[in-house]
Amino acid sequence: MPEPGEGPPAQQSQWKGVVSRRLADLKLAPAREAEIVEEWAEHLEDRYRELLAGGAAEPEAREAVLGDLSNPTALIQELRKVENPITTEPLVPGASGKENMMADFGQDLRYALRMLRKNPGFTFVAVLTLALGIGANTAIFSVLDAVLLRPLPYPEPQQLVKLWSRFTGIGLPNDQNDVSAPEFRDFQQLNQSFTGIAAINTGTFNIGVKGSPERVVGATVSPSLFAILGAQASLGRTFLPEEAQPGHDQEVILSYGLWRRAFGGDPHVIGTTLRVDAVPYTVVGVMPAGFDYPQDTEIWGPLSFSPDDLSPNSRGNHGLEVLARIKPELTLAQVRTDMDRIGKTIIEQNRSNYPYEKYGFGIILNPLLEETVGDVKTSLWVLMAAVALVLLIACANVANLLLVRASGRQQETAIRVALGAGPGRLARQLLTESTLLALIGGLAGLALTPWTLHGLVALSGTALPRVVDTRINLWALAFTLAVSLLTGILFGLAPALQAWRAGHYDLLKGGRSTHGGGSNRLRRALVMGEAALSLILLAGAGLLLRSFIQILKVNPGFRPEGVLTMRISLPDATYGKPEQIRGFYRELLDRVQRLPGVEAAGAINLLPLGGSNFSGTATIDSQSVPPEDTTPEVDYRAVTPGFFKAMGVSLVRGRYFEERDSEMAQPVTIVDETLAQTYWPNQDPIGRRLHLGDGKSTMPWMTVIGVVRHVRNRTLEARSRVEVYWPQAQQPRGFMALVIRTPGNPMSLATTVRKEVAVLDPELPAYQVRTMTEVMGESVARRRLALVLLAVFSGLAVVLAAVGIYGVASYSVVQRQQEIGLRMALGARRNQVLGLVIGQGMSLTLAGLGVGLVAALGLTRLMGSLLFAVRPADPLALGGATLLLAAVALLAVFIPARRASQVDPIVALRYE
Amino acid sequence: MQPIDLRLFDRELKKGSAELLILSLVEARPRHGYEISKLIEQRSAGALRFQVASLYPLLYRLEKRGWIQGRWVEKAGQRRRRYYRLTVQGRDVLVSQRRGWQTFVQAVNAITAAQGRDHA
Repeated sequence: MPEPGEGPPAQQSQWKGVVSRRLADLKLAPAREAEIVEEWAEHLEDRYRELLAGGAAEPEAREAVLGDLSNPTALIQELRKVENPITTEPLVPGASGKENMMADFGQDLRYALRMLRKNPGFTFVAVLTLALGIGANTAIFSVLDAVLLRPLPYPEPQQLVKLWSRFTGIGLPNDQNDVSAPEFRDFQQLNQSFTGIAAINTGTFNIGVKGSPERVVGATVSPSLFAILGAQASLGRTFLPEEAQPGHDQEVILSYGLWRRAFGGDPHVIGTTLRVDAVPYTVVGVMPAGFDYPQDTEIWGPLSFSPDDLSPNSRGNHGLEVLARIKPELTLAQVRTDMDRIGKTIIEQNRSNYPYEKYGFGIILNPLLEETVGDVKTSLWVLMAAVALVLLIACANVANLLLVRASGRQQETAIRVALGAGPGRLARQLLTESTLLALIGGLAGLALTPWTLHGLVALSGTALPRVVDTRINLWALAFTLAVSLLTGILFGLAPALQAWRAGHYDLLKGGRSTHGGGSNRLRRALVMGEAALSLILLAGAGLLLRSFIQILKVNPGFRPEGVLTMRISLPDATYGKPEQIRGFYRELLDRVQRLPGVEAAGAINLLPLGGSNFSGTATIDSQSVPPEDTTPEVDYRAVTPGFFKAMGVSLVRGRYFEERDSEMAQPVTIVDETLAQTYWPNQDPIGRRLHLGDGKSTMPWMTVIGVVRHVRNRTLEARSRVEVYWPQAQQPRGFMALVIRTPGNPMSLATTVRKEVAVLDPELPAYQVRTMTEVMGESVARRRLALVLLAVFSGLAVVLAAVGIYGVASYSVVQRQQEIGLRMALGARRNQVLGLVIGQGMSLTLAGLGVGLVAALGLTRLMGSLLFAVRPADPLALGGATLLLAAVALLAVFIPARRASQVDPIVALRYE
Repeated sequence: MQPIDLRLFDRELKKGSAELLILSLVEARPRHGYEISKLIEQRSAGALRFQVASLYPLLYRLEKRGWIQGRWVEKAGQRRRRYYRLTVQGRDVLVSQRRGWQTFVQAVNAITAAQGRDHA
């Protein structure tokens, strides 16, 4: 305030009162109003003195002066044109008005940047915390977007559906089975719902590319497939309807990748000949680069059905995938009704052919998108929720940091309030700062994203469908931006609200305030929240870990350690006769067997847990079950004599296959223990009989010569169907997987085994060379991915929570330094001080853990479908998570507590 | 001398002549509000007089446009006052307003003088 002027009694205070009353209606910011009041009071005072000097009496002079202000309405009108009401208080005296919003913002921004530069430590920790939170969110969102949200790359993808046959009670997941050729024909002829329907049969083929044999994934498909998917060849054409006739199916279409690789992108490839499994085919088309249906297919051939394929005997031969496009005007519900009708018709028409009724036959219809990503939906949403929690924790942490900093800035705040910054203005400044921080964090997170994403894609391998399509797209970018902004507002809100309140207090008290109470409460609440959120995450990770351990504990029925596997596929053209196939494998296994380091060697047509399966009806000669139950669906496999020993499948009774179980001997079989117990309970299964196909089938009876342990063929998580093995020699298959057991490192054998294959047939590729442990690992890859990710996220959460707890404990120690010093001066021992600080910090954490535990109990239930042999409320997982967090929190509290206990009372007290 | 009709003067203000007056007065050196009003009154021999309610809003408007800049100045033995000085931008405005005003006055003079001759 100005010093008193010279001369006669000053009237300023009176003038000020008058001016102030005149201005009241304008509701100016206090600082601005004070300024105007002062300026005008000076003016009036000058005039007053002048009048007095001119000889006027005091009352006269006063009246004249006040006359200047006699028209309050005009005054307010004039001022209102230039001054703003209180809602937009200026920070700087004199700068005001609506046009100043942008100027204010620029000022706030510059100020915020200066503040961030001034505290590099704070800025670094905050930005890193946010970058981790936001980066993880963007990466997971990118995957989520690619896998779940981005529609399939086909026109009108919502019209695409997949069809399955439903067989209840035969141990299929969801009772969902492939479709047989006669069933497909029925669907085709009976439906009123589809604009197109196609059958697909996937497989792998040997092709001769530039002299070196190559194994490629291929599919024989109905010609209509391409029209259904809305795909056209980029070169040549797709298949013609007549090419689905037996004898007219000698054409192939190449994928873009294969065309580039095998033909060097030759534009004249159409019409050339390509040997597929040693049979010449004519190339009729090349698909565009993005076309990938079924996934990974590199070569397509027309799918034709022989009369035999379509005969009633083939009804049980379920091996086709069926894709259809529904008519645009129909809803899924309508189509499902149509499918129910077809299902009933099929049951009716085949009462004498096939036991449809017994298995509750029906048609399952799933949208293609659902099919493609259905299994991983839960995992991905759980992960998304997890990273969102991580981000929340990161926000809480940064809010905490800001709160601590805000209390260090009390003085600054007080000065700014005194200069006329209103609470709203202050809050805006703080929000600008926090949003800027969040945006920088977001940018840093975005910079991290390519790496996290790369890591994610690499980590997920084939565990996630469509994950290779993942990239940071505009949506993910927008998502990051939105998340950053939201984050900034979210964690800036707490300090801003506090500033708002504090602003008023300071204004009233006119001095340094101690708004410690409210801010401490808020900080404690934030730490409790962090502890609670971390517990939820940790509990989720714990549950997945427990499930994973449970799965690894599952006995698959074989010993995977020390086993090398690789696939071989003999082309029909050169190995057309059964004796050629028999001869090849006999000779090969004989050679491999004699290699140094090989303990046992055998072969099987489909590896357990290898991803593909084959099943069919078998008829079992049993009196122990009702006659209608003697034709179960069984998993069947062809094996060589050495297989069981090489794979480590133990014998329960009888014997393994031997060389004498040849094509010349009587047909024999080995069954698993489940089959033996189910159909011949309390009897000796050796010598009993079964044959493939249903009761009317003419397949020869096979005599049981051995019983082996049940093998988990399909998944580690569940038992497979009953299993039937027969000697490969009696029903040769060209397509086999070698199984080689060694006491050493299995991979070290790979080269020598491949050489043996090349000696027998240099044209023949041996592919998918893996150890059996790898095969098993791949079967649980998706589960492991979810586990690893959730573990990483919860680890991140725990670290962040620990930082938060540490921060609050440290801060409270600094705040209470005098109190602690006093206590110690009065005789408190160091241990008591230690206990005091630890007790305070831990009570907070434990309260948070309590809340988290309750929340975790509720939330982990949503993970039910991801768990295996573990209840969502598993005490070990929940208890372990709680203990771990408590231990981490204890450590986080202990460090500042120790510091507090080492306070020198003299030094602490001198602070006063 | 009686102050000229205030309503008329208000219109003059809106035409910008009042702005011109203020800008001219702070051209040589910074002045505070009372000094400005005093100078206007003195130099117009009492014909023009600003009241607080019209002077200050005008000053604030000019300040907001960035033509003048106010600053609190404390001098030993004196009260704290707010001095307004002409900014660089204000100087440009003053030059162009002054030119405009002179053109206007000459035009008005030319017309009124001619009318005088017609009557003569």
